[in-house]
Amino acid sequence: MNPAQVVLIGSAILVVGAAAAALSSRWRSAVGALSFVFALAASVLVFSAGLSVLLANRAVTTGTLVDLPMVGASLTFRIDQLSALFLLVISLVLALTSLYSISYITRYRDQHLSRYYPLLMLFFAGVIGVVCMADWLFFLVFWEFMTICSYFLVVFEKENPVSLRAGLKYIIVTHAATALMLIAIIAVWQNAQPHSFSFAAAKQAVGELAVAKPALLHALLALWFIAFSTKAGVLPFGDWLPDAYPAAPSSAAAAFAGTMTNLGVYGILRVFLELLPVSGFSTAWGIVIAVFGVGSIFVGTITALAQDDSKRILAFQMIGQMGYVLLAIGTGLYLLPVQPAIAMLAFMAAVFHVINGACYKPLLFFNAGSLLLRTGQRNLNRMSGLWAVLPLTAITALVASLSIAGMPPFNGFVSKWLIYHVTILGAPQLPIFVLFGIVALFVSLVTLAAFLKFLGAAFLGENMLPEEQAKVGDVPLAMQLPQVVLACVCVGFGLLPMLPLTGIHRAVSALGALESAPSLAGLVGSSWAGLELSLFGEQSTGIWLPVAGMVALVLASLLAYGFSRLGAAKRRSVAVWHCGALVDGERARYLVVEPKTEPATAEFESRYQAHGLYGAFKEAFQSIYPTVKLPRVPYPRTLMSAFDADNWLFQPMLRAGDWLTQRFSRTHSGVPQQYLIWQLVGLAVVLVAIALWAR
Amino acid sequence: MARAILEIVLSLVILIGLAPLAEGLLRKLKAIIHSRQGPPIIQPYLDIAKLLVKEDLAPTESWMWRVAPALCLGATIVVAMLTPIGGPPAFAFGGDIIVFIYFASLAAVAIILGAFASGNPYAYVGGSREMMMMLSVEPVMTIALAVAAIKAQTLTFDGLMASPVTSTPSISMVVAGVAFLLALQAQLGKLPFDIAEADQEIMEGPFIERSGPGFALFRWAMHARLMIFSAVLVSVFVPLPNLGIPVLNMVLTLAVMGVVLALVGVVDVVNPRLRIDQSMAYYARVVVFVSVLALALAIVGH
Repeated sequence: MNPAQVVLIGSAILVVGAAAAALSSRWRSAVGALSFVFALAASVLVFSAGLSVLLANRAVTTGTLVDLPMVGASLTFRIDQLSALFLLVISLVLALTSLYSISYITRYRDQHLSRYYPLLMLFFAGVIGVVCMADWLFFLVFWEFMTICSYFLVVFEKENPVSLRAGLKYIIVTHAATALMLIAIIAVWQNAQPHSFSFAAAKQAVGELAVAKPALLHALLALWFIAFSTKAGVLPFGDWLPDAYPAAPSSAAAAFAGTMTNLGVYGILRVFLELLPVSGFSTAWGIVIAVFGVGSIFVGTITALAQDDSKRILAFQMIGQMGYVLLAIGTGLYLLPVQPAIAMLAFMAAVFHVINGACYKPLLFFNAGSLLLRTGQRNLNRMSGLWAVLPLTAITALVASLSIAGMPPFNGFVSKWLIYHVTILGAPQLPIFVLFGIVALFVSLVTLAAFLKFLGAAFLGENMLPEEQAKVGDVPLAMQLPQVVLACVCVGFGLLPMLPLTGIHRAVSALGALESAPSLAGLVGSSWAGLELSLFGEQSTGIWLPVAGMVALVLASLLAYGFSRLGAAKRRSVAVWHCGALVDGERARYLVVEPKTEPATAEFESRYQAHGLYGAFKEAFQSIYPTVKLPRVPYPRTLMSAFDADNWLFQPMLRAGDWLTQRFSRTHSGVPQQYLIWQLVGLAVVLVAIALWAR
Repeated sequence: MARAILEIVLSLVILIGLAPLAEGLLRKLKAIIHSRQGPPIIQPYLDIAKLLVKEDLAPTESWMWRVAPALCLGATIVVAMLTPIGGPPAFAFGGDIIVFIYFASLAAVAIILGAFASGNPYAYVGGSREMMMMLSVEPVMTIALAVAAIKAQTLTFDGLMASPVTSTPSISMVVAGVAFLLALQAQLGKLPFDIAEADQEIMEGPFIERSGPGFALFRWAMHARLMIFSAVLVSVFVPLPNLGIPVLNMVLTLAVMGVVLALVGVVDVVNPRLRIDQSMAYYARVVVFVSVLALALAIVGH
């Protein structure tokens, strides 16, 4: 069985798992574990398939499953190295998200779990489908399937008007984007001879359009770009993201951040690197993409600094981080015709940043979810000192925060380091890229500021939880484990960047934008100890040995610590000194406890609030993210109920399933006589069937 | 190997070991301008020794609080290993200019997290200001170093120190050097930009709760900043002649660093403290008018 078939089986397991979870969703305590078993099985299959494709460095396909010759489309699972790389990430996020959900989703006591687990698994099936398609029609089918599943997850809290509004915005914006993509796909289909939706035919058609109708091709590329960057959350198209991500449960948001947003980049790579021939189009679109990237970096990240809601900070940071990826892709595209080796490095940096993002972004959403579970709070102004209660969550949050801020020796640093190199040194022909690189470097510090605020507000300072709640300790094991795994990946990729880069190099080489892709050793050196860049000939232009740097840091810190103990100073615990002012200690802790609805304090206010941080800086940039208040349109009631598919489609289906299972379970009455009658009836049916068949 | 270790030790002795002495000289200079006697020049060493035996008071049980001072000085030591002193840095085989910039901010991260961990509102204000100062100074420094990197076509200190860019004068490098010098005052936490520590106002800000050995480590890290950033300024932006012998180059660099630090000290004495918004506006103007000019000059090849 080849890996593509294994992935197909993995997706089938997810679909079966979704059905099983839907039917068993009444047993709240069991459905999570059941879904996790299915998810884990699928994840292992998909992971092994992805790994084997990457190791063999060769694309595989299942052969045609569904053929539609009259429209020129066929459903085939085809996995090349880029798909394989994304499959590895997806399978990791799939397993961890399902594990995390088991405990996390118990938080939503009033929600029926049939609206969570089945949709989560179908969502992942859709995501896997998207990266395995080599046919635009079915790509769009899976894309749409994924979007709809994610919509239902966004509006999981269906009683909350904020969630509903976020969901509405999400579905309208993303469907507008999908419509644009549909136009592009149909236009390319029409220009393909014979009419076909396959990637190969599209590639040929785009190649012909580049010569025959350049204006049309520019328009099509614009449509594709808008469609994919909407999904990736690139400003201004990604405006739905800061509303939708916080509205979804943290575990679902982690799944989106780890997989769905990255598929926008996947699509951009497919279109601009695989379909588009290396030409003037690459140069022009490289500049456009880089400009959008820098815009997102700047606006997204600086807006994140002003947020006080833990999940909204993350959502805006997603936008900023996606900007880095786009900046790298844009630089690469611009350089593709003139400096293919540096372009290759830029693409690798982009994909590396996507993969790193898929580690720390879900981790941060997990952290925010853990905080939400234990305190019932998303507002950073109402949190404080949780390190004492959630030490493991705190340490993983520290790792994730430093990773996303690009601090050495974590993984985010390596990809950002590559991006700075290619932008600052790579494109001397167009100096604007230097400026872009410097903006990226500066804004990385703003990211750091935002996450120091997050860490400082949530984990440091005085502990907010009353003693009896603090005693409970960290979040359940099923929530700890995913956080620890992702934190380890962040550290591992940071220390051994060659491991992911080897796979990424294969994935980018397979896209075929470069006729003869330079070898990995020629790009980043051959040593596993670290990366050495030489962008122009022999001279080394950049070097980073993570292990050596880490050893130096640890030794130096130990030396410093040893020095500080030379005087054998005594330690003593004291109260915080307020310069002589008397401060009521209890006020800083909590005011009112409402144990009924929320596990923790409802009225707690941190003495020194997160909102107070970086005041002057926020003031300087306060109008950077303009918001437009849309007037509320009174919709007719029938239209509203028509849109409420939850009510007329999903719930009835579930009720019917529930009814059927109950009917079925009624046969188990426990009366032996009845079982005997069933047996007799069965025997009679079998006999009649045999008699009929024998005749 | 032995040579590399020797080089590392030498650069640490100069940049970390002599840092309190530089602070002591600055204090003496300040005292002379004030017409005071002033403390002996080894006073910072004595202060650190005194702090080592003082009681270590902890307002919190947080693990971050305990780790922060060692991490701060540790990161500063790595930065010192990556700092060129008239020649390539000792640890140039491990990291380049970007790694240097990031380890320098790692030291600041340790200060800020240590401050937030204390739970003291003044530390909180100090940490917030420290971050804002970093946000306003970092672009100036980064652009200045990027100018050098673009001209030398490399981001490694090795290549940079070997290239003619750092040894022959050029307009763009002069402008970038001026920008770096303007950033130095804030980078070193000296007046008019000692806003994060502001001892008369928020009582050393991030360090308000610190006493004893932890404070000693932070103090030493702050002193080391004096040496590290002035060394980068002189090595990269002042076109000193290559004397052929690395030790002589180092001595010459140290002499010019003394002049730079004296300048910093004089500015420190004669200025009052600015508010945070004023200093941010100041550095925004530096970025727009000086740094971007240097960058433009470098790109057109001057």
